[in-house]
This record gives sequence, C-alpha cells and structure tokens, in this order.
Amino acid sequence: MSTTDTAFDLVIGIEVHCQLKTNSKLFCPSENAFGAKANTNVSPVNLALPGALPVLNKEAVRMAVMAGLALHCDIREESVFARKNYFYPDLPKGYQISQFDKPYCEHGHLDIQVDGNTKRIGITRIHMEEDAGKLVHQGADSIAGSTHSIVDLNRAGTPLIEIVSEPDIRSAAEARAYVESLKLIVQHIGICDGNMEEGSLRADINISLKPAGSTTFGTRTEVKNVNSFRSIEKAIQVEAKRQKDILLSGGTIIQETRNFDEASQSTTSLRGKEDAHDYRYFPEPDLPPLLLSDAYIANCKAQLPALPEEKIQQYKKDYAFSEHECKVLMGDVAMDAYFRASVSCAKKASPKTIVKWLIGDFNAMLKEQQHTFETIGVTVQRFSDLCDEIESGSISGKIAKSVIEQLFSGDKSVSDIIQSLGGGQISDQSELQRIVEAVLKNNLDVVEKIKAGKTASANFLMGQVMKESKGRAKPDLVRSMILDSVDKI
Amino acid sequence: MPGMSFTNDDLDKCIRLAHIFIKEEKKPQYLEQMQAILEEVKTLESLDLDTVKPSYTAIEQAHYQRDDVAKNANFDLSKNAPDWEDGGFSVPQILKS
Amino acid sequence: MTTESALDLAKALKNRDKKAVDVVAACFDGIDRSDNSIQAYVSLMKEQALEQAAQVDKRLDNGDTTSALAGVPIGLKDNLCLAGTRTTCSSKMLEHFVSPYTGTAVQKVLDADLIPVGKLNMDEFAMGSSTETSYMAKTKNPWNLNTVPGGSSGGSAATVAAGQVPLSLGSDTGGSIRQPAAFCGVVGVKPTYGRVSRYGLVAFASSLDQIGPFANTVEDAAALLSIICGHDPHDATSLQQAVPNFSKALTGDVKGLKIAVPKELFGDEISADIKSVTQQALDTYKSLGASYELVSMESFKAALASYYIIAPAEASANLARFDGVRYTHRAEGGDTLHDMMIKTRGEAFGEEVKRRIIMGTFVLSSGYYDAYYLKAQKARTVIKEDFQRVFNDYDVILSPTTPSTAFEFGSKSNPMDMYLNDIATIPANMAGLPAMSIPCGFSSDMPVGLQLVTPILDESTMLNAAYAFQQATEFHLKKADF
Repeated sequence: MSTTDTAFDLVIGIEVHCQLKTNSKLFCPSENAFGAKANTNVSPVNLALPGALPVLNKEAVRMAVMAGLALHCDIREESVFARKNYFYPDLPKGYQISQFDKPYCEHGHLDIQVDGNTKRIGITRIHMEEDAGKLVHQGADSIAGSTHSIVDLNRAGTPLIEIVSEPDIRSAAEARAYVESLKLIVQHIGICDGNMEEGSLRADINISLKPAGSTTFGTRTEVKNVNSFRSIEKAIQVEAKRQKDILLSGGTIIQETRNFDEASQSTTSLRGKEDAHDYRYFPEPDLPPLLLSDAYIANCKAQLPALPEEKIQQYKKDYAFSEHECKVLMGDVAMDAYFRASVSCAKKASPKTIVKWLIGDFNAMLKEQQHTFETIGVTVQRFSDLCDEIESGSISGKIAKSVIEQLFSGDKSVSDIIQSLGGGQISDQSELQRIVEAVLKNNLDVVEKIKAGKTASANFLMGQVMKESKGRAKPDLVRSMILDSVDKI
Repeated sequence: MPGMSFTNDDLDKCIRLAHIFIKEEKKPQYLEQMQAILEEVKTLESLDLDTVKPSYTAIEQAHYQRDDVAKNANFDLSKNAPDWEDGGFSVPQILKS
Repeated sequence: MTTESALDLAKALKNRDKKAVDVVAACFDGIDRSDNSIQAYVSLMKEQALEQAAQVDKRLDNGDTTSALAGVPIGLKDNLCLAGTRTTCSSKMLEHFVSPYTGTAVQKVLDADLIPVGKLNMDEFAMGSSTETSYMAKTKNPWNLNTVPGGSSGGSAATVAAGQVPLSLGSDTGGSIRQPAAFCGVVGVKPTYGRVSRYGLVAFASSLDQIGPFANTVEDAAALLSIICGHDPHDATSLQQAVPNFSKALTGDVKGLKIAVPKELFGDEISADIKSVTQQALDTYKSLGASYELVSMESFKAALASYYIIAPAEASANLARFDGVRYTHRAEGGDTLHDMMIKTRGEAFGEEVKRRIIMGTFVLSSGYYDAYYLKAQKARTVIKEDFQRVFNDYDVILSPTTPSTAFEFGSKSNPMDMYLNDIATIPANMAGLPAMSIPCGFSSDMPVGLQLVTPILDESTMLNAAYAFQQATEFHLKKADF
C-alpha cells in the first residue's frame, strides 16, 4: 500500500543500532546486562571519572566483524575511533567514542523479500560505538513536563554497531522487511538479542520525498523513538504525509530530527539550533587504530554461522519444510540451534520428523515447564534418541508423548524410559498373536458378531488388545491380526 | 588558512558549543587573547605540509584489546554526587517548563 | 629539611638504621614548618601516611620488600588519582572530589612501599607554566619566594627543592615537569610517551600527557622512573616494550657521546646568562669525552603553534565530563539542565582553562578542522621526522630547558608570554620523546636547567648522560635557602 500519492516517491534510509551481547562493555569491564539496579554496572571508565581510559573489548570486535561479513561488507584493514562531542547528561564523558570517516566496514548489502520479490538494499557502512546511559524523567510520562531527571549509567558504554543503509528503501513494507531481516541476521549469528522492546535493536528512519521519477532527492528528516515493527510502518506513514502536506502547500522541509510519539501517532521536532550538529569529530587519541588482518577476517568468516536466508533455503529445499515450520525456527534462535544440533546428533530421524516433534509436543512441554530453549535442561542427545525411536517405528505416538514428559522430569536415558513404560512397540508377532487369541477367547460373543459380518465390532476387540499390550501394539497390525484370527476360529 | 581574525561571533559560538559562560565585560579580553594566539599559530604556514600525513599519536603502537570479562566497580557514588536520588544522579529539568 | 637522597634514605631504612614512621613523622614536621612559605601542598595525608609507614616498617623488618625505595616519602601532583584522597587538579571544579580509585602509576608507587604524604599544587587542570592559575594555593619558588616555581607541576618541583620530600611525581604535557624542575633546580624527567600508564592521571592532552619523577639526583629519578614504567592493560596507549633497569644504565661514561644543540633554542629567545651557563655545560661534556655541534631544527618554529592547537583541542573534549552531573561542583540556581551546566562550567573553571577550551573548540569546529587541527597533526609528523633526522647522527639533543629563570608572580599576564616559556620543552612532547631537565648552573642566584632529549625508548642514554654531568659538577648539591 503506497503511503504517498503518485506525485511523490518515498525515499527511506534506515540506521539500525544493535547492542552486542558481550559480557562486558565496549571499552571497560563493567557488566553488559539488562535490568540491573541503577548505576551498578559501572566502572571508572563508563562513569567518566577523571583519569579513566577506554580499552577495546576483543569479543565486541569479533561480533562486529561477524555482522560485517553477514552483510557482505568490505572490512577495512585499519579503522579509526573518533570522539563525537556533545553535552547531554546520559553521555558522561561529554563525547561518545564512535567511528567517523574510517568505519570498520562499508559497501555491503541485504536482500529482502517483499510481495514475493527480492530487492537488494545497499548498506553504506557499519561502525562501532558506545551506547549512552539512560535518563528517567520524573514528574511526567516523558521528557516534556518533567520536573527533573535521574541519570542511570548502567547502559553507558554498551557496545553498539550502527548499520547504515543506502536510501534504497521505497515503502513502509520494504522498511519493515529490511529491519526484520536485519534482526533475524544479528540474532542468528549470535551477536544481538534483537529485542526492540528492550532496546537491544533500535531503528532511526530517514525519510524524504522526491517528485515521482526525479533523480534529485528531497530534504530528509530523521525520525527517532521507533520502538516496534508496527511503529516503523506508522512513523513512515505519518511523516510522509506531513512532508507531503508541506510540499503540496508550497513549503520546504527543514532538515531536522523528529521524535515519533506513539500516543499521538505523530512526529514532533527534537533538535534546535544549527550548531548542535557540530560534533567536532577528531580521532580518539586514547585508542590506536583498529587493525583487522586478512587472517583474522578469514578466521571470522570460517566461524560465521549459517545465515537465516541460507537456513531457510536449506529447510525448504533439502528438508521440504513448510513456511510455518521455517517461520517458527527462524523466530527462535535457540530453538533453531537445538534443532540443527539434533539433526547432527540423530542417527535415524529425518529432519522432518525432528521438526514436527520439536515445534509440537516437545516445545509445548518446554513451555509448560516454564523454560525456553535457552534454559532447557534436556540434552540434544536425549531428544535425538527419542526422535530416532519415533522414526524407526519402535514406539507409538502415545508412548512418545509419555517419553517427552519423562525427559523433562528426570535424567533417564530414552531407552530406559521406554522400558519403564513397558517396552517399545511389540515387534514380536507371536507375542501379539498370543494376546489377540487370549482376547478373542474371552470375547467369543463379539467374535460371533464379527463372523456374522459386523466388522465394526472388531474395534472393541482392538481396544482390548491395546489395553492388554499397554498401548505397545501397532493398531493396523492388531486389526488385521484380529480379523485373521476370527476367520480361524 | 582562513586568515581572518577570530570574531565575536566565533567567540560566542565556541562558548555555546563548549557549554561555558563568560561575563560580557570579559569577552573583549578573551577575544584579544584568542586573536593573539591564532596569530602565533600562523607559523604553521612556514612548513610545507601538503604531502605530509598527519600523526595522531606520538608513537605507533601495537593494538591492545581486553578479554571480555565482566567486573563491576563497587563505589559509593553518592559520596561525590551533587544530587543523588533513588540510586541515580538527579539533574534539573531538561526542557523548560 | 631532608638533604639525603632518596636512595640513601632507602638504604638506611633497609638497614633499619631508620624507621619509616620516624621518617614520615619528621617529614610532616618539616612540611608544617616550611609549607606556610612554600605552599606546595593542596592536601596532606598524615594519618594514612603514618599507618602505611607502620605497615612498611613491618615489611622492612621481615625483609618482605625488594623495592629500592621502600619507606621513602613522596608527594603526588593533585591530578593523580589516589583512592580516598581529594584529587582537585587545583580547580574549583574538583575541589571536593574524592577519587574512588587509584591510578596505575600511583598504585605502583604504593606497591613499591613508597609513602605518599600529600597532593601537590599545580596549574588548574595542568594548564599553565607557573602554577599561578591554581585555585587552591600560591606555590612559591624556594630559591626566591617572589618568583614562581614554574608549572604546571609547580608544587611537585617546589616540595623537592624545599627539602620537604626527596621525591615527587608530576605530569608533563608541554614541559610541565621539566620547566618547573629547571626553575627550582631539581631533576625532572618526562619518559617516552606511553612508558608510564596514564590511567588515573586526569587527562589534559591525551596524546601528550606523561607522568614523571622529580628528585634531587639523577639516580633517585632513575629509580623512581623504573618503578612507575611498564605496560598497563588499563591504558591502550601504554607501550608493550620491556622496560630496562634504568639504574643499571648509570655508568657515568659519556666518551664518544654525540650531542646536538638546536640553533633554534640557542638564539635570541634565550637569555644571555642562560646561554652562557649552557655553553659551560657543553664544555663540561666535552671534557668528559663527548662532542657537540649546533644543528638546525626548523620544525621547532612551528612546534609552539601545533601544540597550542592540539593540546587545547584534546583538552576541550577531556574537560567536557566536568558538567556538574556526577562528581563535580554544581552551580546553584540553574533552572534547566543546560543552565546548570553552563553556570557550573562558567564559575568553576578559571580563565586559562576557559581560554584553552575555547581555543580547542574553535580549532575542531566545522570549517576550521582542516585549517588548524589537521595541519597541526601534520606538523607533528614533521617534528617527529626532524628529530629522527638528527638522531641519525647524534645521540642526545641538548638545550636550555627554559628561555629564562623563574620570573616574578604576575609578570607574565599575557598568555602568549606565558606560552613562550615552553618553546624548548614542547617539541619533545610532540614527538613523544624522553626528555629531562637537570640543574646546570645559576643566573643571578636562580637555578638554570639543562634539557636532554633522546630517541624513543632510549631513557637509558639520556639518564646516563645526565648522570655523567651530575658527577662532574656540584650544582645538584646546592640547596635553596628560604
């Protein structure tokens, strides 16, 4: 659905900030964790105490390089950190350590799917920088009308990568697809939680309009505070409309930063004077340039996990998974990892069998236990063993469900659990024959009915055999045995 | 090099950007002093710098990176804080009411 | 007044001829008596010092310490963070700031069982060459109480010159150790950039700052230097190269040493008296078997200019953290955050600091970066290469440390006049080279300092050359009488 009328083209570029899930901050050892008591994840460095100095976190570098590789970027051999100078209480040093004219990677791309078509969105650059702290405004719901604010520096210094797209996006739907794809990628390569509600993934949208078909771009505004996929689409709609209204009435767009207000579904101007934009960037004297050797990058490349699009391809082509199955796996990184590990571990079970049980009864049980695939206690080995038994037909679906229950409640191996449930499916025909004959002997009246042509009565006998065999008999085999035996009597 | 002298507008812009305050009556003195310093700075012109690469540090060093091990400092931050409230640093309202 | 060298004192302590608690107590008595006149100290740490001295005595009794300077009292410049002490940088902005952590160099000093006795006065945030911009005290030069001790480490130099303590630590960004050392007639050393960790040193100009020792003798300075040098994982600019034992380098043999004297530091900018004293020093070196020649170092002409762009630029960013929010002075009456910040920074920074912040902001601002900051960084390259060229043929660069001896208070109210104090010292900071000042004579009864500069990482040659001069002369033995 177009958000502008045919007189204008919508031009969108998106800057996505991803918090890297390292143990410690980008430049200091204070803990990188959400939800701690205010001002406890701190050290002299992220408190900006006098005399404190930044030292780069090597894991953050590795994660950042992974992102660059996943997005097909050129990784720069020598990149430079820079100070971005401005005053704000959530920025304790009065400058942010970021990267300016020499970011660690550039010239990448991300292919998105919209309405069945593939579109390539260019990625201008990715750079590393530190996050700011948080301001909690007091006396009002937001900054406007508050009496004062309280600064919490827990988040200050959290490693971020800022992924800047080319202005290749042309609709709200494309914008949403882009951010969704990015989210999946950073989640699946294990560098970011991708949680927009918690702020580990944030998007700023740059929007401008140009006359339809023109090659000259219009003036753009930057919209911040877009906290969900829905907001992305809404913010684009309202801002595009606002700009369109101005242009159609003969006005000009002011280049500025605007805040998306969820409540009023509108954007309001955030910044003021021009020289607020003068960040006076200069190379960070406390940090030598970051050197990334070919060997290091090759090493990272070798360790890069499979990307979502590669996995989806594999699941659809090689495993014949449905759209739904793919969606469920992609939507939960830990589940997908568990799935893939199970595929490697299983000796007989097909991926199709594994996924069916994984996203079905197994996941249901996991949820009942109030766990996730991150906190799951059942090893991949035990789950795979169960899948192997299911695949080989040695247990029925009913038994499999009981096994699942027991997998979560104890440590027993799958074969022990099956034994304790009375053994697997009866494969020995003579044993089954014995049970069938016993049941028939005790139900001669029903046998007569069957002989008289009421084959439906065989169901009753089937139920009895299943009961006797404690559910271990294969239903169709039991049925044919009963009918054969009846003939013989 | 912009050979123009440092103006009052330049002074005011720097004061704004640097978030400091200078009394009006002192501004002329600052202006004069800045101009004198910038005059001296013109000696840079005596060097031929066209093909020279900048040195941002005195000595090129091997890069040093830390292991990703978390360790929080255990400071009583309230001791030095000008205004400590609810475990955080209280600051006056950001937007004028 | 302590006339012993630090190493001799340490020997006496090690032999248990003296007890640390007695030495420290005597030290505080001396400071009590003399600091009314000298005002070297911003704060004193008598209780902690005596407690620590008691601990050190135990360790000395048990033979638990291998430090060459165990038990020696030391003063620390007030821009060095020591947990539990006020670290004011002689500024109203940090007047009540008590550091919760200890910087690396200071920690090494503590680990070597030296005993800090107090925090020393300085120019506010290390910006100055006379210690006159201090908000806390007015430090006097022990040789003439009407004159300045130099700056910015004025307190660090004066306390050693006055015999209050045998050792102190200062910091040097454009000459702030060497120039006060020259004015006060003591030894002051700036190591190679990166030799000593800057973690815990309140930053002025990040690419230039270094911590260094003040002492009465070269041997003392070398011993203290050895203690504070070394790679620090808390400072990404600290050098990973191994640190030689500087004390072992002091052979006193300078036969064949090739000395270069820059013409640019031997001309009209330097007073006639100082030139003549320097000439005598050169003659002394010659008599010891060294040789000297005048050389041309054209890049020096632009050194002052590039320094007064780079240092303020970095400082303007380094001082942005002083905003009234977390641990500094906070102004009253600011209605909004913005008002509060501006008022705070307006009233808690002195004039020189504001001047440099404005300068730094200007040279980094949009439209001016290339013309000033970038150019200055290119000039730095030229200065580095100029030194490299000279060091191809010479071992040491020698010059007067300062253009004049200590001047009277208030006599250099024009900032440019003050900045010209640093023409001899700045180039070594720009190139990151080790540099030091040693007493080499007197002019009108005021000390004159001789500056030595050697290649990167070659403190050994520099210290040895200084040592040889010291052994051949007696200037270091003359003490201030105040």
